Amino acid sequence: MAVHNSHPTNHNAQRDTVLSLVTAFVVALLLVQLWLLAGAVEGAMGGEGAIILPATFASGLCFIGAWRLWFMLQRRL
Amino acid sequence: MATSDPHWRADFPVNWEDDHYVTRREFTTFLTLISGALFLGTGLVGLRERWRRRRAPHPAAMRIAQVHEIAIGGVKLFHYPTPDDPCLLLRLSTDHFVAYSQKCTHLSCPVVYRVREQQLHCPCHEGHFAVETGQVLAGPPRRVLPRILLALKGEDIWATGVEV
Repeated sequence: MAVHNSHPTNHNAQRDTVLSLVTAFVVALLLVQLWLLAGAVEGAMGGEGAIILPATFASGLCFIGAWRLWFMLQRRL
Repeated sequence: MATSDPHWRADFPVNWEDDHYVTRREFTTFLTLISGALFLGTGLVGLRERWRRRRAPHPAAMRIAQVHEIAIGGVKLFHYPTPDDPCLLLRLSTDHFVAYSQKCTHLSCPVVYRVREQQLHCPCHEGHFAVETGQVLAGPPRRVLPRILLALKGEDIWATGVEV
């Protein structure tokens, strides 16, 4: 008997894969934010305040991306 | 449940393994909260820097030396703008004076003037700075040495500000 794609085992396996991928993406965004924070602190200490605003903006984008991924995780998976 | 367990365990049976188990959703929620905290932290760094610049007054001018005190190739230690800020005044030629903060921009070790190499050298981690500009020449420092702005008024050398 052929196993349909909607077989519970296949569906669970796909969901597990997507869950893992989403978690990995969020971890990657977190690492980028850590790097941005370190750069902002370095710039503040070195008197190069011009980089702080772009770093904050980029960190905000990363946070929005992480939040959207989390939201998708809660709603759809 | 083991017979040696206290009686209240029978009344409140908690499966601690299941209780401590963290699902991927919960872990991702935690990561998202960390992401928000990092974003807030970056924003706070910017706000703090802006507030500090508004509050910090321009340092007052201070007489630090007289021209005849320092020989050509000589160096004088002084403190500016506060007693906790050691600085070096260097005389590179007859009428060419430069001054820098003595704190290495790596980990704040005191830098020393090397006349022969015409460099400022940090002995802690072998950082080297150019005497003319304070730029990093070698070593782990990543930022230029803060430069002390000087003004020559007759025979007196005055420190008038700090350029980071």
